[in-house]
Amino acid sequence: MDIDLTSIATSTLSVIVVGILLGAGLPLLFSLGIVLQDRGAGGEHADGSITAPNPAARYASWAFFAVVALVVLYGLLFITKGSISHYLGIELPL
Amino acid sequence: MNGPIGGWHGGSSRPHPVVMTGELVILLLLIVTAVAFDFTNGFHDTGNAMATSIATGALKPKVAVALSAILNLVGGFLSVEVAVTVTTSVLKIQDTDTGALMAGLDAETAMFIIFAGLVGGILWNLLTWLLGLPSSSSHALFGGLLGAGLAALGTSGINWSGLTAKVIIPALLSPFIAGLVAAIGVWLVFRVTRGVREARRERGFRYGQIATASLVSLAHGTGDAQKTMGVIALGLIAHGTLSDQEIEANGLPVWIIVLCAGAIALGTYLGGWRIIRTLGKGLVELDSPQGMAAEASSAAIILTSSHLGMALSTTHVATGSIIGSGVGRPGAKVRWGVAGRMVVGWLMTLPAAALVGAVTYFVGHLVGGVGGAFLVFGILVVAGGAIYRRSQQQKVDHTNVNAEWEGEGTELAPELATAGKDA
Repeated sequence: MDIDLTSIATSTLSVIVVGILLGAGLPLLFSLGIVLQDRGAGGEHADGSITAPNPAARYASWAFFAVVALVVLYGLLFITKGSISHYLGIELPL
Repeated sequence: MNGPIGGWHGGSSRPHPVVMTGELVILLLLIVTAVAFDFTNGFHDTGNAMATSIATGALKPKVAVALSAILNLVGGFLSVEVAVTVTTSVLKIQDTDTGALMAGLDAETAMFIIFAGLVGGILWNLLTWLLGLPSSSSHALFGGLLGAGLAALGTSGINWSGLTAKVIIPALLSPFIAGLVAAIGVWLVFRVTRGVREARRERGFRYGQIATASLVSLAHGTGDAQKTMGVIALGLIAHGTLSDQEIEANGLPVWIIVLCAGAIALGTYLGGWRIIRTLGKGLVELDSPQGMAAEASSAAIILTSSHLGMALSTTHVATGSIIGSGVGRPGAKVRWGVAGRMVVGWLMTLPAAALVGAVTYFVGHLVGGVGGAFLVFGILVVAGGAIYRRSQQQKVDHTNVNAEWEGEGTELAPELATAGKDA
């Protein structure tokens, strides 16, 4: 049996690092977007305070959502680039 | 059945009609069985993507399975670089680079190994579905192939280091990796959004949940439909209808892709409600931020891990993520009894499917030829039918999938002797 423990450890570590960056990092960005949406909407909050609507916060929230969407889109194109080149003949520079 | 009963072999560009030989009959049964496996793979794994969205109410159950089915179908068509070498991580019956059959292995033995392996995989998938246990379909397939390979070729036919490095070690690690990522994600999500109004938070995360669950479905279609395509391709290579050079040059015949993508999508649409229920309601009581974090973790890991040199099972990752989302959320409760039984199921998957695969191979080989193949197929139909009948006594479908979970363990006790009393 030739089992390369070093390469298993390396790939495990990279799966964990990439997993945390994308699998926890993107939900974090999405959550920040949700927080900004909530701020942007104004009105009565859970603690009873009332704030005015804040358009800047609302725009910022959409920026966060857009970043998340772009990262996901990039990921999808990266993963399907083989198929895209096969079916459509487009070589993506990813 | 050796006479020329005629028949034209579709898909081949050969000018002469292919004679209906015994080997062709075995091949056809093998393909039907492979498609059946693909189908069980679909409904077994619907929950991996959709259980959390169904449990939190982000999607209606029927809408969730339909969405997942469509994305599995798309995913199936996206997989061009098909895993023709699917068996090489457990068996030594084909060349690791080209997928060609090993020299010295005759067509009938090779086809019987694949056939018996598929039967082992299907029966274990059906049994775990009956018990509502989300076990890995890839492991069931590998287990079945392992048993059939052992029965046919002895220990020298098994790729032991591949089995350890590519199947067992990743399986042991993946729930912990996924659990860690999901726990961190959930913790961050709750920390950041604690001041947000509940209704807004719930609504916002529902969109996130649907998006992440869709990604998991797509990833499932690309990954798992491929495995069956690889198995069918190997059957054709063994039979001699297709060569590894042809696949290398032109890709797989389109009918294989259509068949496999279609079967996995149909299976997904039928929905393994028993497993969806265990994953969505049995393990952890989920709300939408948790569900979103769990599926984000699953999607990120499933989509990237194979590119990082480690192919992880969708089921192990999804379950690990859901448990992690319960661990990472302050105050949430994980039903460890359910999780424990699941782990027992995982540990049993390889040996149990291997046992069925080995027994099936022996039976088929003993009788041999077309008769043996029909006998094996008959065993599969009878055993599968029995499991289905048992499932109907305690039905789980889209109407009761979200009912309150009672007790600490799984709902359907493994003691099937208690059959008959309705829930």
